Amino acid sequence: MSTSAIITMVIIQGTVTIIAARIYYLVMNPPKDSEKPYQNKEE
Amino acid sequence: MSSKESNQAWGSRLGLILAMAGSAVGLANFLRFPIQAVENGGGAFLIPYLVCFVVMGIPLLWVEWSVGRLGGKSGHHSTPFMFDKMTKGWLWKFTGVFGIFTNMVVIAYYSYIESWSLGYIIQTVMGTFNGLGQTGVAHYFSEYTNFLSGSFGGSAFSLVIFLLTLFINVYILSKGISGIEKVARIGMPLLLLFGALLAVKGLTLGTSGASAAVPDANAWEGLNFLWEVKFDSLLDPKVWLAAAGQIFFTLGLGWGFIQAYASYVDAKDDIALNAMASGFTNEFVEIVIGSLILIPLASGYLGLDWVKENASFGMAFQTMPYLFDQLGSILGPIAGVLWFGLLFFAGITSSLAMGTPWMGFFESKFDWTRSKSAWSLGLVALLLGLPAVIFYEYGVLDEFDFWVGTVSLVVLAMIETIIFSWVFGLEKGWKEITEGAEIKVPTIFKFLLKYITPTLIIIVFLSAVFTPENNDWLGYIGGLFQGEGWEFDSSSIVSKIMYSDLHQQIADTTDPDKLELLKDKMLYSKISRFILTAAFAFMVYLVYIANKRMEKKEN
Repeated sequence: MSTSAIITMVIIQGTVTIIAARIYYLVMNPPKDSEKPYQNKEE
Repeated sequence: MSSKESNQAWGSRLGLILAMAGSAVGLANFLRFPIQAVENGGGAFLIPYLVCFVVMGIPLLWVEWSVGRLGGKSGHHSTPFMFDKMTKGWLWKFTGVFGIFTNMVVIAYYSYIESWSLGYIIQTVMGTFNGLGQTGVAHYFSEYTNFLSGSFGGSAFSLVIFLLTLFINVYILSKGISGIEKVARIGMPLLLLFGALLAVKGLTLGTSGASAAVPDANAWEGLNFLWEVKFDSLLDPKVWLAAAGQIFFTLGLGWGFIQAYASYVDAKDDIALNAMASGFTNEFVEIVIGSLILIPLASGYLGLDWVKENASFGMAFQTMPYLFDQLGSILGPIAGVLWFGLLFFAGITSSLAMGTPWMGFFESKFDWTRSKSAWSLGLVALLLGLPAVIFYEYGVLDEFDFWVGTVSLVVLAMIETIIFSWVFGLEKGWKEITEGAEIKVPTIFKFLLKYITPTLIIIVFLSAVFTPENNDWLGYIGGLFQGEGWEFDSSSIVSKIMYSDLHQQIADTTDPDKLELLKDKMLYSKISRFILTAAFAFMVYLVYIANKRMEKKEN
Protein backbone atom coordinates (compact mmCIF):
# COMPACT_ATOMS: atom_id res chain seq x y z
CA MET A 1 0.00 0.00 0.00
CA SER A 2 1.17 3.51 -0.70
CA THR A 3 2.00 5.79 2.20
CA SER A 4 -0.81 8.22 1.30
CA ALA A 5 -3.37 5.40 1.22
CA ILE A 6 -2.24 4.12 4.60
CA ILE A 7 -2.33 7.61 6.11
CA THR A 8 -5.78 8.30 4.64
CA MET A 9 -7.14 4.99 5.90
CA VAL A 10 -5.70 5.39 9.40
CA ILE A 11 -6.82 9.01 9.78
CA ILE A 12 -10.37 8.47 8.56
CA GLN A 13 -10.98 5.15 10.27
CA GLY A 14 -9.31 6.41 13.41
CA THR A 15 -11.41 9.58 13.49
CA VAL A 16 -14.67 7.69 13.00
CA THR A 17 -13.71 5.19 15.71
CA ILE A 18 -12.74 7.90 18.20
CA ILE A 19 -15.93 9.90 17.59
CA ALA A 20 -18.07 6.77 17.90
CA ALA A 21 -16.31 5.78 21.13
CA ARG A 22 -16.78 9.29 22.53
CA ILE A 23 -20.47 9.23 21.67
CA TYR A 24 -20.96 5.86 23.33
CA TYR A 25 -19.10 7.14 26.40
CA LEU A 26 -21.59 10.00 26.59
CA VAL A 27 -24.49 7.59 26.11
CA MET A 28 -23.28 5.37 28.94
CA ASN A 29 -22.56 8.36 31.22
CA PRO A 30 -25.52 10.68 30.64
CA PRO A 31 -25.81 13.98 32.48
CA LYS A 32 -28.37 14.41 35.22
CA ASP A 33 -31.62 16.03 34.11
CA SER A 34 -30.62 19.31 35.74
CA GLU A 35 -27.31 19.30 33.82
CA LYS A 36 -28.82 18.78 30.38
CA PRO A 37 -27.97 21.75 28.10
CA TYR A 38 -31.59 22.68 27.30
CA GLN A 39 -33.17 21.81 30.64
CA ASN A 40 -33.19 25.30 32.16
CA LYS A 41 -34.62 26.83 28.99
CA GLU A 42 -37.47 24.30 29.03
CA GLU A 43 -38.27 25.18 32.63
CA MET B 1 -56.12 7.56 21.47
CA SER B 2 -53.58 4.81 21.05
CA SER B 3 -54.40 1.16 21.46
CA LYS B 4 -53.02 -0.91 24.30
CA GLU B 5 -50.76 -2.68 21.78
CA SER B 6 -49.18 0.58 20.66
CA ASN B 7 -48.33 1.64 24.21
CA GLN B 8 -44.95 0.02 23.95
CA ALA B 9 -41.57 1.43 24.84
CA TRP B 10 -37.91 0.55 24.42
CA GLY B 11 -36.56 -1.46 27.35
CA SER B 12 -33.19 0.25 27.43
CA ARG B 13 -31.31 3.04 25.74
CA LEU B 14 -28.65 0.69 24.41
CA GLY B 15 -31.35 -1.55 22.98
CA LEU B 16 -32.90 1.43 21.19
CA ILE B 17 -29.56 2.57 19.76
CA LEU B 18 -28.59 -0.94 18.64
CA ALA B 19 -32.01 -1.43 17.02
CA MET B 20 -31.74 1.93 15.23
CA ALA B 21 -28.19 1.19 14.15
CA GLY B 22 -29.25 -2.29 13.08
CA SER B 23 -32.06 -0.85 10.99
CA ALA B 24 -29.46 1.12 9.05
CA VAL B 25 -26.65 -1.43 8.94
CA GLY B 26 -27.38 -3.74 6.06
CA LEU B 27 -25.95 -5.29 2.97
CA ALA B 28 -25.13 -1.84 1.62
CA ASN B 29 -22.51 -1.26 4.32
CA PHE B 30 -20.47 -4.23 3.15
CA LEU B 31 -21.26 -4.25 -0.54
CA ARG B 32 -22.41 -0.88 -1.81
CA PHE B 33 -19.99 1.40 0.04
CA PRO B 34 -16.71 -0.19 -1.04
CA ILE B 35 -17.88 -0.39 -4.64
CA GLN B 36 -19.06 3.23 -4.63
CA ALA B 37 -15.70 4.30 -3.21
CA VAL B 38 -13.77 2.33 -5.82
CA GLU B 39 -15.86 3.84 -8.63
CA ASN B 40 -15.66 7.41 -7.33
CA GLY B 41 -12.12 8.35 -6.49
CA GLY B 42 -11.06 5.91 -3.78
CA GLY B 43 -9.90 7.69 -0.65
CA ALA B 44 -11.03 11.02 -2.08
CA PHE B 45 -14.64 9.73 -2.06
CA LEU B 46 -14.53 10.00 1.72
CA ILE B 47 -14.37 13.79 1.46
CA PRO B 48 -17.76 14.30 -0.24
CA TYR B 49 -19.08 11.33 1.72
CA LEU B 50 -18.23 12.85 5.10
CA VAL B 51 -19.38 16.32 4.01
CA CYS B 52 -22.75 14.84 3.00
CA PHE B 53 -22.89 12.93 6.28
CA VAL B 54 -22.56 16.19 8.21
CA VAL B 55 -24.81 18.46 6.11
CA MET B 56 -27.44 15.92 5.09
CA GLY B 57 -27.12 12.69 7.06
CA ILE B 58 -27.03 13.99 10.62
CA PRO B 59 -29.68 16.71 10.08
CA LEU B 60 -32.02 14.20 8.45
CA LEU B 61 -31.47 11.74 11.30
CA TRP B 62 -32.49 14.46 13.75
CA VAL B 63 -35.52 15.32 11.62
CA GLU B 64 -36.69 11.71 11.45
CA TRP B 65 -36.12 10.99 15.14
CA SER B 66 -37.98 14.23 16.03
CA VAL B 67 -40.88 13.53 13.70
CA GLY B 68 -41.15 10.07 15.22
CA ARG B 69 -41.03 11.07 18.88
CA LEU B 70 -43.45 13.93 18.25
CA GLY B 71 -45.90 11.58 16.55
CA GLY B 72 -45.49 9.03 19.32
CA LYS B 73 -46.62 11.59 21.91
CA SER B 74 -50.04 11.48 20.23
CA GLY B 75 -50.07 7.74 19.67
CA HIS B 76 -49.01 7.89 16.01
CA HIS B 77 -46.50 5.23 15.03
CA SER B 78 -46.26 5.71 11.27
CA THR B 79 -45.63 8.72 9.06
CA PRO B 80 -49.10 9.51 7.64
CA PHE B 81 -50.50 10.80 10.93
CA MET B 82 -47.14 12.09 12.11
CA PHE B 83 -47.19 14.43 9.10
CA ASP B 84 -50.85 15.17 9.76
CA LYS B 85 -50.01 16.27 13.30
CA MET B 86 -47.31 18.64 12.04
CA THR B 87 -49.40 20.31 9.35
CA LYS B 88 -52.77 21.84 8.64
CA GLY B 89 -54.79 20.57 5.73
CA TRP B 90 -55.99 17.10 4.86
CA LEU B 91 -53.51 16.29 2.09
CA TRP B 92 -50.25 15.97 4.01
CA LYS B 93 -51.16 12.70 5.68
CA PHE B 94 -51.35 11.02 2.29
CA THR B 95 -47.79 12.05 1.47
CA GLY B 96 -46.84 10.10 4.56
CA VAL B 97 -48.13 6.93 2.89
CA PHE B 98 -44.66 6.54 1.39
CA GLY B 99 -43.42 5.80 4.92
CA ILE B 100 -45.52 2.62 5.08
CA PHE B 101 -45.67 1.72 1.37
CA THR B 102 -41.88 1.67 0.96
CA ASN B 103 -41.39 -0.71 3.85
CA MET B 104 -44.33 -2.93 2.92
CA VAL B 105 -42.92 -3.56 -0.55
CA VAL B 106 -39.23 -3.66 0.24
CA ILE B 107 -39.61 -6.11 3.12
CA ALA B 108 -41.10 -8.52 0.57
CA TYR B 109 -37.98 -8.79 -1.54
CA TYR B 110 -35.44 -7.74 1.08
CA SER B 111 -36.42 -10.72 3.22
CA TYR B 112 -35.79 -12.87 0.13
CA ILE B 113 -32.23 -11.53 -0.17
CA GLU B 114 -31.87 -11.91 3.59
CA SER B 115 -32.96 -15.54 3.18
CA TRP B 116 -30.07 -16.09 0.76
CA SER B 117 -27.74 -15.35 3.69
CA LEU B 118 -29.48 -17.94 5.85
CA GLY B 119 -29.53 -20.46 3.02
CA TYR B 120 -25.86 -19.90 2.30
CA ILE B 121 -24.96 -20.39 6.00
CA ILE B 122 -26.60 -23.80 5.79
CA GLN B 123 -24.97 -24.65 2.47
CA THR B 124 -21.56 -23.55 3.78
CA VAL B 125 -21.89 -25.83 6.81
CA MET B 126 -22.99 -28.66 4.51
CA GLY B 127 -19.86 -28.16 2.41
CA THR B 128 -21.73 -27.35 -0.81
CA PHE B 129 -19.09 -24.88 -1.95
CA ASN B 130 -16.06 -27.07 -1.19
CA GLY B 131 -14.00 -27.42 -4.35
CA LEU B 132 -16.77 -26.00 -6.50
CA GLY B 133 -14.52 -23.44 -8.18
CA GLN B 134 -15.33 -19.88 -9.18
CA THR B 135 -17.61 -20.81 -12.07
CA GLY B 136 -19.36 -23.46 -10.03
CA VAL B 137 -20.13 -21.02 -7.21
CA ALA B 138 -21.56 -18.48 -9.66
CA HIS B 139 -23.61 -21.22 -11.34
CA TYR B 140 -24.95 -22.36 -7.95
CA PHE B 141 -26.27 -18.84 -7.33
CA SER B 142 -27.96 -18.88 -10.70
CA GLU B 143 -29.64 -22.21 -9.86
CA TYR B 144 -30.54 -20.90 -6.39
CA THR B 145 -32.41 -17.87 -7.72
CA ASN B 146 -33.84 -18.88 -11.09
CA PHE B 147 -37.05 -20.79 -10.53
CA LEU B 148 -38.08 -20.78 -14.11
CA SER B 149 -34.95 -21.77 -15.98
CA GLY B 150 -32.88 -23.44 -13.27
CA SER B 151 -33.16 -26.97 -11.90
CA PHE B 152 -35.90 -27.09 -9.31
CA GLY B 153 -33.71 -28.53 -6.55
CA GLY B 154 -31.70 -25.42 -5.78
CA SER B 155 -34.59 -23.06 -6.02
CA ALA B 156 -36.94 -25.28 -3.98
CA PHE B 157 -34.51 -25.00 -1.08
CA SER B 158 -34.34 -21.24 -1.70
CA LEU B 159 -38.13 -20.98 -1.52
CA VAL B 160 -38.30 -22.96 1.73
CA ILE B 161 -35.63 -20.76 3.33
CA PHE B 162 -37.47 -17.64 2.12
CA LEU B 163 -40.66 -18.84 3.82
CA LEU B 164 -38.66 -19.65 6.97
CA THR B 165 -37.08 -16.18 6.96
CA LEU B 166 -40.48 -14.53 6.55
CA PHE B 167 -41.80 -16.63 9.41
CA ILE B 168 -38.88 -15.61 11.65
CA ASN B 169 -39.53 -11.94 10.88
CA VAL B 170 -43.27 -12.25 11.51
CA TYR B 171 -42.71 -14.13 14.77
CA ILE B 172 -40.30 -11.52 16.12
CA LEU B 173 -42.54 -8.65 15.00
CA SER B 174 -45.47 -10.28 16.81
CA LYS B 175 -43.46 -9.88 20.03
CA GLY B 176 -43.41 -6.13 19.51
CA ILE B 177 -40.65 -3.65 20.23
CA SER B 178 -39.23 -5.83 23.01
CA GLY B 179 -38.76 -8.69 20.52
CA ILE B 180 -36.95 -6.40 18.09
CA GLU B 181 -34.78 -5.06 20.90
CA LYS B 182 -33.73 -8.59 21.94
CA VAL B 183 -32.68 -9.40 18.37
CA ALA B 184 -30.70 -6.15 18.15
CA ARG B 185 -28.92 -6.75 21.47
CA ILE B 186 -27.78 -10.17 20.26
CA GLY B 187 -27.44 -9.61 16.53
CA MET B 188 -25.53 -6.33 16.48
CA PRO B 189 -22.66 -7.37 18.77
CA LEU B 190 -22.35 -10.63 16.83
CA LEU B 191 -22.36 -8.68 13.55
CA LEU B 192 -19.57 -6.46 14.89
CA LEU B 193 -17.57 -9.46 16.07
CA PHE B 194 -17.97 -11.38 12.80
CA GLY B 195 -17.14 -8.25 10.83
CA ALA B 196 -14.05 -7.54 12.91
CA LEU B 197 -12.72 -11.08 12.40
CA LEU B 198 -13.21 -10.87 8.64
CA ALA B 199 -11.71 -7.37 8.56
CA VAL B 200 -8.58 -8.65 10.29
CA LYS B 201 -8.32 -11.28 7.56
CA GLY B 202 -8.76 -8.59 4.91
CA LEU B 203 -5.99 -6.50 6.45
CA THR B 204 -3.54 -9.35 6.87
CA LEU B 205 -4.16 -11.46 3.74
CA GLY B 206 -1.53 -9.63 1.71
CA THR B 207 -0.12 -11.80 -1.07
CA SER B 208 -0.76 -15.13 0.62
CA GLY B 209 -3.86 -15.67 -1.49
CA ALA B 210 -1.97 -15.60 -4.78
CA SER B 211 -2.17 -18.78 -6.84
CA ALA B 212 -0.76 -20.17 -10.07
CA ALA B 213 -3.88 -18.87 -11.83
CA VAL B 214 -3.55 -15.39 -10.30
CA PRO B 215 0.08 -14.94 -9.26
CA ASP B 216 -0.26 -11.16 -8.82
CA ALA B 217 -3.21 -11.33 -6.45
CA ASN B 218 -2.58 -8.94 -3.60
CA ALA B 219 -5.06 -7.82 -0.93
CA TRP B 220 -3.04 -4.69 -0.18
CA GLU B 221 -3.43 -3.58 -3.79
CA GLY B 222 -7.17 -3.70 -3.26
CA LEU B 223 -6.87 -1.65 -0.08
CA ASN B 224 -4.59 0.76 -1.87
CA PHE B 225 -7.09 1.17 -4.73
CA LEU B 226 -9.86 1.80 -2.22
CA TRP B 227 -7.99 4.33 -0.07
CA GLU B 228 -5.59 6.03 -2.50
CA VAL B 229 -6.71 9.62 -2.74
CA LYS B 230 -7.60 10.81 -6.26
CA PHE B 231 -8.29 14.50 -5.71
CA ASP B 232 -9.31 15.26 -9.30
CA SER B 233 -12.42 13.15 -8.78
CA LEU B 234 -13.72 15.86 -6.42
CA LEU B 235 -14.39 18.11 -9.40
CA ASP B 236 -16.86 15.61 -10.86
CA PRO B 237 -20.49 16.22 -9.80
CA LYS B 238 -21.09 12.48 -10.26
CA VAL B 239 -18.84 11.77 -7.27
CA TRP B 240 -20.70 14.21 -5.01
CA LEU B 241 -24.04 12.79 -6.09
CA ALA B 242 -22.78 9.27 -5.47
CA ALA B 243 -21.64 10.31 -2.00
CA ALA B 244 -24.99 11.91 -1.21
CA GLY B 245 -26.78 8.82 -2.48
CA GLN B 246 -24.61 6.51 -0.38
CA ILE B 247 -25.23 8.55 2.79
CA PHE B 248 -28.91 8.40 2.06
CA PHE B 249 -29.10 4.65 1.69
CA THR B 250 -26.62 3.72 4.36
CA LEU B 251 -28.36 5.65 7.15
CA GLY B 252 -31.81 4.30 6.34
CA LEU B 253 -33.19 7.78 5.61
CA GLY B 254 -36.52 8.31 3.88
CA TRP B 255 -37.90 4.89 4.76
CA GLY B 256 -40.24 5.71 7.60
CA PHE B 257 -38.88 3.17 10.07
CA ILE B 258 -36.65 5.59 11.97
CA GLN B 259 -39.77 7.63 12.68
CA ALA B 260 -41.63 4.46 13.69
CA TYR B 261 -38.87 3.36 16.08
CA ALA B 262 -38.54 6.87 17.52
CA SER B 263 -42.29 7.01 18.18
CA TYR B 264 -41.70 4.59 21.07
CA VAL B 265 -39.13 6.88 22.71
CA ASP B 266 -40.31 8.62 25.86
CA ALA B 267 -41.27 12.26 25.27
CA LYS B 268 -38.60 13.59 27.62
CA ASP B 269 -35.75 11.31 26.54
CA ASP B 270 -32.84 12.49 24.45
CA ILE B 271 -32.91 11.98 20.72
CA ALA B 272 -30.04 14.26 19.62
CA LEU B 273 -27.29 12.11 21.11
CA ASN B 274 -29.13 8.86 20.40
CA ALA B 275 -29.43 9.75 16.73
CA MET B 276 -25.69 10.52 16.58
CA ALA B 277 -24.94 7.20 18.29
CA SER B 278 -26.94 5.17 15.81
CA GLY B 279 -25.53 7.17 12.88
CA PHE B 280 -21.94 6.74 13.96
CA THR B 281 -22.44 3.05 14.67
CA ASN B 282 -23.49 2.72 11.04
CA GLU B 283 -20.48 4.73 9.90
CA PHE B 284 -18.13 2.62 12.00
CA VAL B 285 -19.49 -0.56 10.42
CA GLU B 286 -19.28 0.97 6.95
CA ILE B 287 -15.97 2.81 6.95
CA VAL B 288 -13.95 0.75 9.41
CA ILE B 289 -15.26 -2.78 8.97
CA GLY B 290 -17.08 -2.83 5.63
CA SER B 291 -14.16 -1.37 3.71
CA LEU B 292 -11.78 -4.07 4.93
CA ILE B 293 -13.65 -7.15 3.74
CA LEU B 294 -14.98 -7.36 0.18
CA ILE B 295 -12.35 -5.47 -1.82
CA PRO B 296 -9.19 -6.76 -0.09
CA LEU B 297 -10.41 -10.37 0.06
CA ALA B 298 -11.43 -10.35 -3.60
CA SER B 299 -8.18 -8.64 -4.65
CA GLY B 300 -6.20 -11.04 -2.52
CA TYR B 301 -7.47 -14.09 -4.40
CA LEU B 302 -8.68 -12.84 -7.76
CA GLY B 303 -6.46 -9.83 -8.32
CA LEU B 304 -7.21 -6.15 -8.51
CA ASP B 305 -7.93 -6.20 -12.25
CA TRP B 306 -10.70 -8.72 -11.71
CA VAL B 307 -12.16 -6.55 -8.92
CA LYS B 308 -12.13 -3.45 -11.13
CA GLU B 309 -14.07 -5.25 -13.84
CA ASN B 310 -16.45 -7.30 -11.74
CA ALA B 311 -17.06 -5.54 -8.43
CA SER B 312 -20.81 -5.66 -7.82
CA PHE B 313 -23.49 -6.45 -5.29
CA GLY B 314 -23.68 -10.00 -6.60
CA MET B 315 -20.16 -10.74 -5.44
CA ALA B 316 -21.46 -11.42 -1.94
CA PHE B 317 -23.03 -14.69 -3.08
CA GLN B 318 -21.46 -15.37 -6.47
CA THR B 319 -17.83 -14.92 -5.52
CA MET B 320 -17.25 -14.87 -1.75
CA PRO B 321 -17.96 -18.61 -1.22
CA TYR B 322 -15.18 -19.37 -3.71
CA LEU B 323 -12.79 -16.99 -1.89
CA PHE B 324 -13.53 -18.58 1.47
CA ASP B 325 -12.98 -22.04 0.00
CA GLN B 326 -9.38 -20.95 -0.69
CA LEU B 327 -8.82 -20.65 3.07
CA GLY B 328 -8.91 -24.42 3.46
CA SER B 329 -11.27 -27.02 4.83
CA ILE B 330 -11.41 -25.59 8.38
CA LEU B 331 -10.98 -21.83 8.05
CA GLY B 332 -13.01 -21.71 4.85
CA PRO B 333 -16.36 -22.81 6.32
CA ILE B 334 -15.73 -20.71 9.43
CA ALA B 335 -15.14 -17.62 7.31
CA GLY B 336 -18.19 -18.44 5.20
CA VAL B 337 -20.41 -18.76 8.26
CA LEU B 338 -18.99 -15.47 9.61
CA TRP B 339 -19.67 -13.66 6.32
CA PHE B 340 -23.17 -14.98 5.69
CA GLY B 341 -23.98 -14.77 9.40
CA LEU B 342 -22.95 -11.13 9.31
CA LEU B 343 -25.15 -10.51 6.26
CA PHE B 344 -28.06 -12.30 7.91
CA PHE B 345 -27.85 -10.23 11.10
CA ALA B 346 -27.46 -7.07 9.03
CA GLY B 347 -30.48 -8.12 7.02
CA ILE B 348 -32.82 -9.16 9.81
CA THR B 349 -32.23 -6.06 11.92
CA SER B 350 -33.17 -4.05 8.84
CA SER B 351 -36.21 -6.12 7.83
CA LEU B 352 -37.60 -5.96 11.38
CA ALA B 353 -37.35 -2.18 11.17
CA MET B 354 -39.22 -2.28 7.86
CA GLY B 355 -42.05 -4.17 9.54
CA THR B 356 -42.53 -1.56 12.27
CA PRO B 357 -44.44 1.16 10.34
CA TRP B 358 -47.07 -1.38 9.23
CA MET B 359 -47.32 -2.76 12.77
CA GLY B 360 -47.60 0.72 14.27
CA PHE B 361 -50.22 1.81 11.75
CA PHE B 362 -52.58 -1.13 12.25
CA GLU B 363 -52.12 -1.36 16.02
CA SER B 364 -52.76 2.32 16.64
CA LYS B 365 -55.28 3.12 13.91
CA PHE B 366 -57.29 -0.10 13.59
CA ASP B 367 -56.76 -1.49 17.13
CA TRP B 368 -55.30 -4.68 15.71
CA THR B 369 -53.36 -6.96 17.99
CA ARG B 370 -49.64 -7.35 17.48
CA SER B 371 -50.18 -10.88 16.25
CA LYS B 372 -52.78 -9.88 13.67
CA SER B 373 -50.63 -6.98 12.46
CA ALA B 374 -47.56 -9.20 12.13
CA TRP B 375 -49.30 -12.04 10.30
CA SER B 376 -51.08 -9.65 7.94
CA LEU B 377 -47.70 -8.12 7.08
CA GLY B 378 -46.31 -11.59 6.51
CA LEU B 379 -49.15 -12.35 4.12
CA VAL B 380 -48.70 -9.10 2.20
CA ALA B 381 -44.92 -9.64 2.08
CA LEU B 382 -45.50 -13.13 0.71
CA LEU B 383 -47.95 -11.92 -1.94
CA LEU B 384 -45.58 -9.19 -3.06
CA GLY B 385 -42.44 -11.25 -2.53
CA LEU B 386 -43.44 -14.33 -4.54
CA PRO B 387 -43.51 -12.51 -7.90
CA ALA B 388 -40.10 -11.01 -7.06
CA VAL B 389 -38.79 -14.47 -6.16
CA ILE B 390 -40.30 -16.55 -8.95
CA PHE B 391 -39.83 -14.02 -11.73
CA TYR B 392 -36.40 -12.86 -10.54
CA GLU B 393 -34.82 -13.38 -13.98
CA TYR B 394 -37.49 -11.16 -15.55
CA GLY B 395 -36.41 -8.22 -13.42
CA VAL B 396 -39.42 -7.95 -11.08
CA LEU B 397 -37.17 -7.53 -8.02
CA ASP B 398 -35.11 -4.90 -9.83
CA GLU B 399 -38.27 -3.03 -10.78
CA PHE B 400 -39.55 -3.03 -7.19
CA ASP B 401 -36.11 -2.01 -5.94
CA PHE B 402 -35.80 0.92 -8.32
CA TRP B 403 -39.18 2.54 -7.70
CA VAL B 404 -39.63 1.69 -4.05
CA GLY B 405 -36.16 0.99 -2.71
CA THR B 406 -34.65 4.01 -4.44
CA VAL B 407 -37.05 6.68 -5.74
CA SER B 408 -39.64 6.41 -2.96
CA LEU B 409 -37.05 7.04 -0.23
CA VAL B 410 -35.88 10.30 -1.71
CA VAL B 411 -39.47 11.45 -2.24
CA LEU B 412 -40.36 10.88 1.43
CA ALA B 413 -37.17 12.58 2.61
CA MET B 414 -37.88 15.59 0.39
CA ILE B 415 -41.43 15.88 1.74
CA GLU B 416 -40.48 15.48 5.38
CA THR B 417 -37.66 18.05 5.33
CA ILE B 418 -39.97 20.58 3.69
CA ILE B 419 -42.66 19.81 6.28
CA PHE B 420 -40.19 19.94 9.19
CA SER B 421 -38.33 23.11 8.23
CA TRP B 422 -40.95 25.10 6.35
CA VAL B 423 -44.48 23.92 7.12
CA PHE B 424 -44.22 22.85 10.76
CA GLY B 425 -41.58 25.54 11.14
CA LEU B 426 -37.95 25.29 12.09
CA GLU B 427 -38.38 26.99 15.46
CA LYS B 428 -40.83 24.31 16.56
CA GLY B 429 -38.71 21.65 14.88
CA TRP B 430 -35.58 22.82 16.68
CA LYS B 431 -37.44 22.65 19.97
CA GLU B 432 -38.33 19.03 19.18
CA ILE B 433 -34.72 18.11 18.41
CA THR B 434 -33.35 19.76 21.56
CA GLU B 435 -36.06 18.61 23.98
CA GLY B 436 -34.31 16.32 26.45
CA ALA B 437 -31.08 16.57 24.46
CA GLU B 438 -27.94 15.53 26.31
CA ILE B 439 -25.64 17.37 23.92
CA LYS B 440 -25.60 20.95 22.74
CA VAL B 441 -26.69 20.91 19.11
CA PRO B 442 -24.59 23.46 17.17
CA THR B 443 -26.84 26.28 15.96
CA ILE B 444 -25.24 26.08 12.50
CA PHE B 445 -27.53 23.09 12.01
CA LYS B 446 -30.52 25.46 12.06
CA PHE B 447 -29.20 27.00 8.85
CA LEU B 448 -28.38 23.57 7.42
CA LEU B 449 -31.84 22.22 8.25
CA LYS B 450 -33.64 25.18 6.76
CA TYR B 451 -31.70 25.68 3.55
CA ILE B 452 -28.93 23.17 2.82
CA THR B 453 -30.42 19.79 3.68
CA PRO B 454 -33.69 20.30 1.75
CA THR B 455 -31.78 21.75 -1.20
CA LEU B 456 -29.38 18.80 -1.28
CA ILE B 457 -32.20 16.29 -1.21
CA ILE B 458 -34.01 18.10 -4.01
CA ILE B 459 -30.75 18.05 -6.01
CA VAL B 460 -30.35 14.31 -5.32
CA PHE B 461 -33.92 13.74 -6.52
CA LEU B 462 -33.61 15.86 -9.66
CA SER B 463 -30.27 14.29 -10.48
CA ALA B 464 -31.93 10.86 -10.33
CA VAL B 465 -34.70 12.09 -12.64
CA PHE B 466 -32.42 13.65 -15.25
CA THR B 467 -29.18 11.61 -14.97
CA PRO B 468 -27.19 12.30 -18.15
CA GLU B 469 -25.63 9.53 -20.20
CA ASN B 470 -22.65 7.93 -18.41
CA ASN B 471 -23.21 10.38 -15.53
CA ASP B 472 -21.30 12.94 -17.56
CA TRP B 473 -22.73 15.96 -15.74
CA LEU B 474 -19.92 18.33 -16.65
CA GLY B 475 -20.11 17.37 -20.29
CA TYR B 476 -23.87 17.71 -20.70
CA ILE B 477 -24.26 20.85 -18.58
CA GLY B 478 -21.50 22.44 -20.63
CA GLY B 479 -23.23 21.22 -23.78
CA LEU B 480 -26.54 22.85 -22.74
CA PHE B 481 -24.88 26.25 -22.78
CA GLN B 482 -23.77 25.54 -26.31
CA GLY B 483 -27.25 24.61 -27.40
CA GLU B 484 -26.64 20.87 -27.41
CA GLY B 485 -29.21 18.33 -26.30
CA TRP B 486 -29.41 16.13 -23.21
CA GLU B 487 -29.09 12.36 -23.44
CA PHE B 488 -30.57 10.52 -20.48
CA ASP B 489 -28.67 7.69 -18.89
CA SER B 490 -30.48 4.34 -18.76
CA SER B 491 -30.52 4.64 -14.95
CA SER B 492 -32.40 7.96 -14.99
CA ILE B 493 -36.04 8.03 -13.91
CA VAL B 494 -37.00 9.55 -17.26
CA SER B 495 -35.41 6.64 -19.13
CA LYS B 496 -36.94 4.10 -16.80
CA ILE B 497 -40.44 5.52 -17.31
CA MET B 498 -39.98 5.34 -21.07
CA TYR B 499 -38.25 1.92 -21.09
CA SER B 500 -35.49 3.53 -23.16
CA ASP B 501 -32.90 0.91 -22.26
CA LEU B 502 -35.16 -2.06 -23.03
CA HIS B 503 -36.31 -0.49 -26.32
CA GLN B 504 -32.68 0.01 -27.31
CA GLN B 505 -31.75 -3.56 -26.41
CA ILE B 506 -34.73 -4.89 -28.38
CA ALA B 507 -33.73 -2.80 -31.38
CA ASP B 508 -30.11 -3.97 -31.15
CA THR B 509 -30.56 -7.70 -30.61
CA THR B 510 -30.70 -10.27 -33.41
CA ASP B 511 -30.89 -13.34 -31.16
CA PRO B 512 -34.53 -14.55 -31.14
CA ASP B 513 -34.23 -16.05 -27.63
CA LYS B 514 -32.81 -12.84 -26.24
CA LEU B 515 -35.50 -10.83 -28.02
CA GLU B 516 -38.17 -13.01 -26.41
CA LEU B 517 -36.62 -12.50 -22.97
CA LEU B 518 -36.44 -8.72 -23.44
CA LYS B 519 -40.07 -8.52 -24.50
CA ASP B 520 -41.02 -10.64 -21.48
CA LYS B 521 -38.99 -8.32 -19.23
CA MET B 522 -40.93 -5.36 -20.53
CA LEU B 523 -44.24 -7.10 -19.88
CA TYR B 524 -43.23 -8.12 -16.35
CA SER B 525 -42.00 -4.61 -15.71
CA LYS B 526 -45.40 -3.19 -16.65
CA ILE B 527 -47.16 -5.72 -14.43
CA SER B 528 -44.79 -4.85 -11.57
CA ARG B 529 -45.57 -1.15 -11.94
CA PHE B 530 -49.26 -1.92 -11.90
CA ILE B 531 -48.82 -3.95 -8.70
CA LEU B 532 -46.89 -1.12 -7.05
CA THR B 533 -49.45 1.48 -8.07
CA ALA B 534 -52.27 -0.70 -6.75
CA ALA B 535 -50.40 -1.28 -3.47
CA PHE B 536 -49.84 2.46 -3.03
CA ALA B 537 -53.49 3.23 -3.80
CA PHE B 538 -54.53 0.57 -1.29
CA MET B 539 -52.42 2.22 1.45
CA VAL B 540 -53.88 5.64 0.59
CA TYR B 541 -57.34 4.15 0.99
CA LEU B 542 -56.42 2.61 4.36
CA VAL B 543 -55.12 5.97 5.60
CA TYR B 544 -58.41 7.53 4.48
CA ILE B 545 -60.37 4.90 6.43
CA ALA B 546 -58.12 5.33 9.47
CA ASN B 547 -58.72 9.07 9.37
CA LYS B 548 -62.48 8.54 9.26
CA ARG B 549 -62.23 6.22 12.27
CA MET B 550 -60.21 8.81 14.18
CA GLU B 551 -62.68 11.58 13.39
CA LYS B 552 -65.55 9.36 14.53
CA LYS B 553 -63.81 8.60 17.83
CA GLU B 554 -63.14 12.28 18.44
CA ASN B 555 -66.78 13.11 17.80
